[in-house]
Amino acid sequence: MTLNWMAFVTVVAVSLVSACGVVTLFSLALRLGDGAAPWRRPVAVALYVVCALIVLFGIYLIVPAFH
Amino acid sequence: MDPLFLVALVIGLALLFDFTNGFHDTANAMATPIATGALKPRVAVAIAAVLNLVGAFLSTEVARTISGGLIREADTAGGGGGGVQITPTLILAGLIGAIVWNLITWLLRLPSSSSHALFGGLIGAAIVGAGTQAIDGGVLVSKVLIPAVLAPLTAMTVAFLATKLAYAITRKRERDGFKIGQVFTSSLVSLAHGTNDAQKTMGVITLTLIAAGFLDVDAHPPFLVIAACAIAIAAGTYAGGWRIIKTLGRDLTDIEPAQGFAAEASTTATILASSHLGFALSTTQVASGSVIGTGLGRKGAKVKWGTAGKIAIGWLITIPASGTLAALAALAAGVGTWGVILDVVLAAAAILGIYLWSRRDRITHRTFHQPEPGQFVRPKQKKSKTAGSAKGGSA
Repeated sequence: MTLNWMAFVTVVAVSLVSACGVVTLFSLALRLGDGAAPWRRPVAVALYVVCALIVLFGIYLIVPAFH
Repeated sequence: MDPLFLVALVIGLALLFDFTNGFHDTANAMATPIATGALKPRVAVAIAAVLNLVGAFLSTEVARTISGGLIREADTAGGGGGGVQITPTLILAGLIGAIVWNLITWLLRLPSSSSHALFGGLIGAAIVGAGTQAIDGGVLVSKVLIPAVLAPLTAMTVAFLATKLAYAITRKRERDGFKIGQVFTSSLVSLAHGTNDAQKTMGVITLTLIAAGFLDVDAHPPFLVIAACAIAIAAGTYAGGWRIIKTLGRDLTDIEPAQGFAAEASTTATILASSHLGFALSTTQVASGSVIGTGLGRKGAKVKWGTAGKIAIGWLITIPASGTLAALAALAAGVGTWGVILDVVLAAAAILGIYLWSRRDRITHRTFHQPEPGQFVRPKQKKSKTAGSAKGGSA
């Protein structure tokens, strides 16, 4: 029985970083979208755009024809 | 028996399995958005169905072995290799075991892995055909049993931390915004499901056609096979396994939009990481783990460990149970034509019986009553105000 523990640790690390990353970005976007200061809105929008790019990267990973 | 009849039977059963696979796994993607009200139940299953359909067409990588190495398979072309000859009869018995077990777990409202049910069925049928040496125990442990423990634990940890982050960063009145995020994360899970799971059935049908000599050994699945599998899994998804959606979305823990988003993000991240970094994890187990993790991550949320325990037991017995069912089917099929007919009649009776039994406590999309946005908050405020004024009055 061979178990690729290194691969498992990589999977855990990558999922941890990416899931927490997306949640942090989206939460910050929500938080910053809620406020009066003029700089907040553009920053929130930028964060949403980053989230959208991450979703696109997810689609890229899912569809085998892309790679 | 006429091989054409047998092959037609296997294809029919494979498509039926694909259908059960679809409605069994709708919950993985859509339980949390339905639970939080991010999507209306019918809309959620429609989105999932379309994405499964699209996903099935996008993936055309053929599975080379139907059991992923669990069974020491002989070359499908015939004879050589010293492994088990995967005959249409063996696949038929395996499929019957997998379908019936998928329906039993659906009846019991347990989210269990459809791939494990299929593996279990094939293992059971192979043991009857060729004895226990047909099974590669090492692969069984390293590819199925250990990942089954690691998948929910990984997802739990990830979802726990993600939930903590979401609640630490946002304030209460901002958290409804997570509903929009949920639409995207759950859609990604659906798409990934379509590319993975429909392909399994395509593999089964293609290998059956090859074994029966209707296709060349290195043939790709014909377009008709791809289309049929895509439609079957999409139809199954649209049928919506409401019983399992209720377990994942309502019965394990109460889910708020922020939790739903954190759980779905964790599920998506874990599944994509596992499928691209060489350590396959079951989608169902990851999704269930995420829901538990997010329940642990929010203060005041309670995880119903009784439900979680039942789900875990379901996972433990999936392979032996569908294996036993398939072994019985394989024993009957070994008798000959009448055995195969008996198998199909019994399987049809079991399916009908389970369906009728499920009507005793029907769970449909109407079960998921979703309050209009805002209704959640207002009654609470009123309550606290009236409670405050009552106190003030008495003081």
